[in-house]
Amino acid sequence: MDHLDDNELLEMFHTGNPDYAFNLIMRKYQKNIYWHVRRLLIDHEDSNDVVQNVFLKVWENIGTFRGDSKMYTWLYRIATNEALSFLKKKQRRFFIPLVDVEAILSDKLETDQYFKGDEIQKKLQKAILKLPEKQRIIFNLRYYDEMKYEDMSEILGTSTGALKASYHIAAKKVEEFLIND
Amino acid sequence: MKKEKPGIIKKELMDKVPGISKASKDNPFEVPEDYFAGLPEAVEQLKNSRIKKSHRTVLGYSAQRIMAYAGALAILIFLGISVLFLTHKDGINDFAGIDNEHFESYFSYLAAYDEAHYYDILISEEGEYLESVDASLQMALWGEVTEDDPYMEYLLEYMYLYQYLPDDMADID
Repeated sequence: MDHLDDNELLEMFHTGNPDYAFNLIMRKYQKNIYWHVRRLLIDHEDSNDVVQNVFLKVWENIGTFRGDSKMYTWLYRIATNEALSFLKKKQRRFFIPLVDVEAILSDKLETDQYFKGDEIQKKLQKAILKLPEKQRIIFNLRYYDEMKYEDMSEILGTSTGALKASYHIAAKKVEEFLIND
Repeated sequence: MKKEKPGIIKKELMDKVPGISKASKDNPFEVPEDYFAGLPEAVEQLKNSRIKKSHRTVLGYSAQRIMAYAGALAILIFLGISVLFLTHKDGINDFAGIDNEHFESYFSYLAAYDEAHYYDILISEEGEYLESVDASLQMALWGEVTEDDPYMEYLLEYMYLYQYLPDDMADID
């Protein structure tokens, strides 16, 4: 069943066995979604909570998904929104200014038992954390997920031109941080 | 999920931001052992508990709706009874369409005429005194009391005045 494409999975969901189809969708995309969320939240436990919520939302809303966009861009959009909502909630709950959220995430890198990167990778992650929220998402999607600008455009609702510009600005900032700091 | 063609991202970085290429692109994060094997099951469990919870919530809402209707009905009944009671107490409408106020003045008249009779009426149960008034009216209407009986005279005058008297009794005075 692993060979089924997104349209076949959707058809199975609508006409056959929705639970099984949903399970296959989860297994197919769980890693992509998890790593996307993890790069935004850094912490594994937070990422786990958010990913579970993402798939619950997928389950609740997949009945209304008619395939106007690609399924995985739809999943990424839900995951991105959930991760950003999580950060905002955390920020509001603990009255943390946005700048401090980034500092807290940076500190987490130092103590995270599930971070196995070397010093340069740690520095790269810290540089990415210094980017504004949207640039950070764009940089991660392009740099790590190697996603096409067209797909990123579907996820973020931004034109490909603006995405290209944002990515290059973000990459420049990251490079500066890596060279200078 | 289709990725960008191999090498494009690297070339893009090398051309514009070569400084980044020093860092390895390998994923620096890890997950607990067998995390991905257990994730779908964890989501399934969460999903099932959410479904059960939502069923409970639906039943809860139904019960709440029924209780709300019952509460509203009880309030309406209470208000209805209260209005009825207050209306009677205020003497707007009562026995045979005659105002309580007029009965009260009638009884006052009786008291002035025959204190003992007045007290008899008041001492009785509410139903009984109404019956006694009813009997008095019947007696007056069918001529079983004389016209010179002063309190009956008052009652007949009152009834004539307020047109409670049947047509064939209209010339009683």
